[in-house]
Parts: sequence; structure tokens; C-alpha cells
Amino acid sequence: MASSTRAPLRTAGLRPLGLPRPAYVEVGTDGLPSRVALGSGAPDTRGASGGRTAAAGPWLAVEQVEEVWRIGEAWWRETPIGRTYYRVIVDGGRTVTLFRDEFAIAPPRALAASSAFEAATSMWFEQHY
Amino acid sequence: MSIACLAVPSLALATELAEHPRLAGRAVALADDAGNRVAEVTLEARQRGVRPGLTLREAVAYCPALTVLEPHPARVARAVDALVEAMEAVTPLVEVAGAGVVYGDLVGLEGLYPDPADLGRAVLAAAPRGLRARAGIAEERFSAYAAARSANAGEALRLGPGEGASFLEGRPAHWLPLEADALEQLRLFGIETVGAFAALPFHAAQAQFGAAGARAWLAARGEDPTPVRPRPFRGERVIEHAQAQPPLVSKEAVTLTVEQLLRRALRHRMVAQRFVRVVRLRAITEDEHLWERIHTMREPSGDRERLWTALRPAIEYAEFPGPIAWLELELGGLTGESARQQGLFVEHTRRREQLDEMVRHLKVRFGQSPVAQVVEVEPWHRVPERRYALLDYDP
Repeated sequence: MASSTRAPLRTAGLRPLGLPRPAYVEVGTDGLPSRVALGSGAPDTRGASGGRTAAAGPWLAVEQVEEVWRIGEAWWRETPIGRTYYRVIVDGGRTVTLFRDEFAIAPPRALAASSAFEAATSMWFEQHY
Repeated sequence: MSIACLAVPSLALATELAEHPRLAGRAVALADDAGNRVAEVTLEARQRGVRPGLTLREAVAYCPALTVLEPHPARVARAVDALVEAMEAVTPLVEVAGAGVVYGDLVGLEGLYPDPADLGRAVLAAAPRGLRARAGIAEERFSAYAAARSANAGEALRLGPGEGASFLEGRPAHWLPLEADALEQLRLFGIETVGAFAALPFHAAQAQFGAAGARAWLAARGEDPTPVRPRPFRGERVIEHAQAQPPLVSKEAVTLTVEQLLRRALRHRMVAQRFVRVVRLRAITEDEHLWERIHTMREPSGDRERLWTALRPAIEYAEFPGPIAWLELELGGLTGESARQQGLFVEHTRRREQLDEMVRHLKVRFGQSPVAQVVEVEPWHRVPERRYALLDYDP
């Protein structure tokens, strides 16, 4: 494995902007996001219609998936980047860009209260592109 | 009649003697600035063997009755100004050729002074009496100088057209317009009069002393080609001064006084709605030593803050020669401008300076800069968090 030849992004005093934020995404049968909850807390998973925690936003239904694209970066390094981005329009007309981190470790399936959605604590993120 | 010369031989000594009239006719020497050697001597001292360059100890050994005076450059500067003003009373085309020698171009004044003798009288009348100035008027420069040097104190000597060469013949060679080294060479060659120098072949003078030798040779023959080079028109100026009693010792007091002078000068109606290009600050110590700085603004300004910013370092880093008794501020080079088109980004720059100042305060208070700035890292990068970053703003 080749080590990175670039200086780490977070050098002294340099803080990257536009970092991805965790998102909670329910994936439909077609493999595309069908519902999304934005925010840092875990969503309430008691009802299929969607509850919410104090920290996470409400579940929002995805009305349309506008665009899907994939980026792969530095796959030859120790910390490769593999993401599939989805630009979606959620309930209310807001456009949100989500991505699924292909190298993130998914939580054990048993921890997920519902098999219908993927509790993407460390797999799904929202990011301004 | 075209050039007038107003001369005060040994100006520094003459200035001191004007301050001490009781020393007239006595053996007096003026010390140099360092106070170690003799700079100038009176005729009486010279007759007793005292000459410039001797140490003061040697001078006193030659002439035990010698009176040694300390130089006061401020007085000399005032005397030069007085001589210039005296010449300016007659003609606006005035050249200061050295300490105690002022030339004036008289071309075109025939109508005002039909009798050439009136010109000499007019120049001398405006000169300070105590300096014992003398005037010379001739067709060309060197003859006018020689005439002034030859005249008695308080008198004018006029040379008519064509009289220059014969008049110059017997004058001392050290009056010639040559450098000190060249004059010393002439002395060593045994050439003691202007006439002896003029008798040399032209090529010999030129070969020995170059272009200056050629000009001096022509001058010695009454054909000096050197014109009067009038000093640039000084234009309008505003002068404010303050006399300090007791003299100012602390630099803070000097700074405050100069700041007050600047305020006062800028209130003058001559400066109103105009810009200043040159600021001259002159300080005179209680024992008449002179300190002077001239600051030429890169861009003329009428803004007090800007002028003060330019002037202040000169005071802060100044080493005054003693307690200041007199401060004089002159605003010169007044322009016709009354406003300036501002740049689009001037306000931005000012805000940036304010921000920097604020951040410095915060840093002192909190130990680190609480402000960051956005910097481009790789703005083209496909991964968004690699494009921009925040960097601590630390001015």
C-alpha cells in the first residue's frame, strides 16, 4: 500500500471546509434513497412512518432522485475514497446531496431496528457538493 | 550689467562677530563643529600665525590673546536666508552658490535701475548690516564674485563691460572656481594670481584640471560662461513656529509641539483646499545648534493624519543637538489640488486594517486568534472537503 505523498489536509491551523455530516437514509427496493433524516442524532425508529430524536431532523420522503454519480479517489492509498452521490429532492422541494461511503463499516444488522432501512450511522452522509 | 554677487567672506565667523560686536578688530578664531580645530580666522588672528586647520591648542600657542568662538549653524542658516532675501529684493533669479555667496541674474532690470549704482545699493540695503556684506556687479559670474570679494564691507563694486580681464589679473588664484585640491596644486605650482593662471595655455589648464580647469581659465580671462542657476521657485509656503521657554528637553514635548504646529499650519487659509508636497521641520537648540529635516511626500496630501504619519518618525528617531528653544514647521510645494479620486478598494483596505487591529486585541485577550479566513486548497477537487479550508487569521 502506498503511503500518501500529500501533506495531510488538516495541517496546523488548517481546517477543511465542507465536511460531510452524518445522515440517516432508508433505501428502497431499487437501491435508491427513499427517506432521509438529516442531523447528528439517531432517528426514532419505532414507527415506519418515522419518528425523530431531538437532535435529528424529521424523516423526509425522497420525491425524486435527480442524479447519481460515483467518485473514487486514492484507491491505492491506505485511506481510499469511494462514494456514490445522490442528488435528491425531498419532501418540500429541498435539494439534498447524499453519499454512501463504500469504505465505511456498516453497523451490525442486528442493531438496526428495521431491516427496511439502512441505519447508515457511518455509511450515509449529507454534503454540499 | 547682468550678474550681481553678494558675498560675506567667512560667513560663519562673520555671523558670530555680528553677535559679538566688541570683538571687532581683535584676533578671533571660530572652532569647527567638533570643537577641536580652527575653522575660520579674522585678519588679525591670521597676522599672528593662526590659520584654519590648526588645533585649538596650537592656535592659542601662536596667539595667546586669541578669542575662540563656538560655531552656531542656526545663525549661519539664518544669515544665508537673509542674504537670499536681500538679493530677492532686486531679482527673483537667485542662486545660493555656497556659504556666504549669493548670485542674482540682473537681466531685464535696466528699466528699473537706470543707474547701475542703484542696483548695488539696493542689494546691500536689504542685507543685514552686521554681516558686513559686499556686492559686486559685472558682465559675468566670476568677475562679479571677484568684484564683491574686492569691495569694502558694505560697499558695491561695479565692473563695466570689458573691464573684467584687467580687474581679475591681480586677484588671488584661490578665488578661482576650482576644487580645493586644484587650488592647492596651483599654489604648489607657484601660480598665485588669477592673471598668472590666465596666462597659461588653455590646453595646459584643461589637461591639468579637466573641464573645471577649462571653465576656470575662461573665468580668469573675464569670459566666465557659467550662468546663474536660479534655485527653483519655492512658491507659496506656510511657516509656523514656536518658541519654547524653557527649552524642550523631552521628545514627547517636541512631538506634541510639532503636532500643534502642524494643526495650526493646516488651518492657514493658504493651505485650505490644497495639498502639501514638502514639509520642512527645523529645530534650533538653546545654544543655536541647528537640526533640520525635509520630507517630500510621495503623494501630496492635505490630510493631517497622513502628513503627521510622514513627519512623526523624523521626530521620534531624531537626535537633537540639545534642548530645543525654537521649532519651525514649513509646509511647501502647495499644489492646486483640492481633492483626490478615491480608489475602489481604499475602503476595503481601511476595513482590513481595522480588522487586523481588532484581531490583534482579541489575540492578546484570548491567547490565540479567534478569527479564521477561508483559503483555497484545491478548489477543483472532486472531493468537496478538499477544496477549501479555514486558516487561523493571525495578522
